[in-house]
Amino acid sequence: MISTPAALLPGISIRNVSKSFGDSRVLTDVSLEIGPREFLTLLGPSGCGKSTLLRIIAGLEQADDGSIALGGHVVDGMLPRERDVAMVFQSYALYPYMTVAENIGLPLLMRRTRAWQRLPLIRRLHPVARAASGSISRDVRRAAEALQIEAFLDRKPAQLSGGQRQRVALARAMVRAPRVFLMDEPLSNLDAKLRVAARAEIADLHRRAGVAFIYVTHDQVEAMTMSDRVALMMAGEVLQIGTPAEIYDQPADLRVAEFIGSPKINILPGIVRADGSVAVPGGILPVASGLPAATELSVGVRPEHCDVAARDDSNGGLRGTVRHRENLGSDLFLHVQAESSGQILIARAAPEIAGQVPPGATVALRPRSNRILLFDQAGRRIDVRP
Amino acid sequence: MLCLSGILLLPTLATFVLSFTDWQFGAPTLRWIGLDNYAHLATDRVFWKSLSNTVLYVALVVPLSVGLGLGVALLIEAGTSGRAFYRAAYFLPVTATLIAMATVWEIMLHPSIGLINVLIDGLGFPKQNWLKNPDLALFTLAGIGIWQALGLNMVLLLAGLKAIPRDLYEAAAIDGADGPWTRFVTVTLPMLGPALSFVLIISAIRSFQVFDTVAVLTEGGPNKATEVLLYTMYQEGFSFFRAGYGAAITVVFLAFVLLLTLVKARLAEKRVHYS
Repeated sequence: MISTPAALLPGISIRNVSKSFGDSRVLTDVSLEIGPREFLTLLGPSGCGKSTLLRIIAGLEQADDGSIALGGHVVDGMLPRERDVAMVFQSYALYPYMTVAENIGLPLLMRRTRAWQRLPLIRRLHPVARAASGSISRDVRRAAEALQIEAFLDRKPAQLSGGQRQRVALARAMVRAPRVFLMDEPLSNLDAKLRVAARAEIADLHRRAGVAFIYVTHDQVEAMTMSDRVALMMAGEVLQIGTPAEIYDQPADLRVAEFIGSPKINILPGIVRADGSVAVPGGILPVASGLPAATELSVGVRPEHCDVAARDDSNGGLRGTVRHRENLGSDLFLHVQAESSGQILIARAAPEIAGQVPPGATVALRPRSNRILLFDQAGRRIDVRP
Repeated sequence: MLCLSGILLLPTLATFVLSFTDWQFGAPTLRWIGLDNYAHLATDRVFWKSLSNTVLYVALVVPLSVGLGLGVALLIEAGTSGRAFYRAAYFLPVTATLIAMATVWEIMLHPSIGLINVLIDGLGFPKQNWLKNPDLALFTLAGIGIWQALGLNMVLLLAGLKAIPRDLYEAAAIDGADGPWTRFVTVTLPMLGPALSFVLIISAIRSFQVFDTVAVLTEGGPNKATEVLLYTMYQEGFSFFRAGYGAAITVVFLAFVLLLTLVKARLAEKRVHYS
């Protein structure tokens, strides 16, 4: 394989795409640049327009406005077939009346033969058609072997388990080496255990295929574990695009911070004091916000950035009462009702201290000052110098 | 089970038994004559004419009513406006009583004042005596049969078309099966398979039972040109009162229907993978 520096290859560029269905606006001026070998995830709650964007890239929907280029070629108005994309559907969309081999081979059959060569008798007798069917079955077998489904080639989809069907759908997508893979929630019909295995498999498939993947999901774990970059979408807009770590640690927007992370980030109302530190109900956070006094803010503290002191050692921090404990074995999450405001805050603690914080116990929560996130009234994050 | 045997099995059994007797409708006695009725059938020219007419009628009505029904269903499904109107318009003949509709057809087909002949005349073609011409009468009846069966076939196939997941068409578009014909043979036709085989068999059974148009419009004529199985059976049993002979015709008729039902059951078994 000739290795061209990835930076020089044209990838996928989405410029100012907008789309409405009737009166409801689904996408508003979306622009994205995706590298030629990048794994990009479109992440967002249902109805945020991520699937519509994927379908516009595939050519299954037409954008009202804007332009899409794949590999340097503008594909607006082109049929899906002409765009050289492969797509894995949420339902897998396997043809139930065809065998696994016929399902995987269909994209090749449609590209390597003409309509008259596919007629029942000619398919078996005409030399060109027979040569094509030979080369197709070789490629089908290769794709099936890559996904370890070669044992099922003669079965119908109904005779397969959910995980096997998903592999057939992947094999059908990869059999013809497309320019870009589009995946629309391909794991949402699998059970939790299979999903973990399938995540690793798709990431591996991406490394081997060496082409761009655009992956749509509402599941932040899938987005965080597989992607090179994540584009977080909400209400038809891309709020932030960045690596999983950037999205998590430096959310550009309050909505991003609230969407990413489980359990959810704690958001407290805050107000800047004269010395630049931030007062929240029940305490003062020692951050140098550098903002003018009396600025109103939202303060975000992730559960794992909130130290828990089991006994009130009167060393500052937000005092509260433990209302509920969730011990996951590896982590202990405490739901603490703040004394001053009554708000429930979630903090992560070491499971070892579970015995010291029974429900009803009083604890002090101390947010780590270097991990506190500040957001202005419009929800934009304010950079804080440590 | 008791109900089933009372309503269905016992009358069938009685017909079967009667077909081996010389019972006359209303007669106090009957005589066991073995296979005489069937032997007579084999040499009865009216019966053979009637059987071949029925088969020809079925062979015309089934492919045309299913084919046209599928065509209309595809057009309605692909169309953007007026779906409800077209659906209702094509379904109307199904809801109307065929006896009443047959009378309407009789007027439409009237040799001198009928709408159809007036139209044909206007286009410069010779007028036809649709129901009295032995070469035309059966085809005319088949035309009415198609008109009547089309609506139900269309509705059943439309339901079948609606049940095809959109995903499959989209997958086919990405896989390159996106021309109208390719899409039809790759996705629509195979996915419609169960509905289509059901519609084919139901149409075959229903057109095998053709009776009302014959009874109202032609009475089997002219010169037995539209004699069909059920009409022959009716005449033998209730006009000539030869109930035993009529029963034998009924048994032949039932054998055909049973055969079609078995074909349908086999087809249904073959389609298990569709679930």
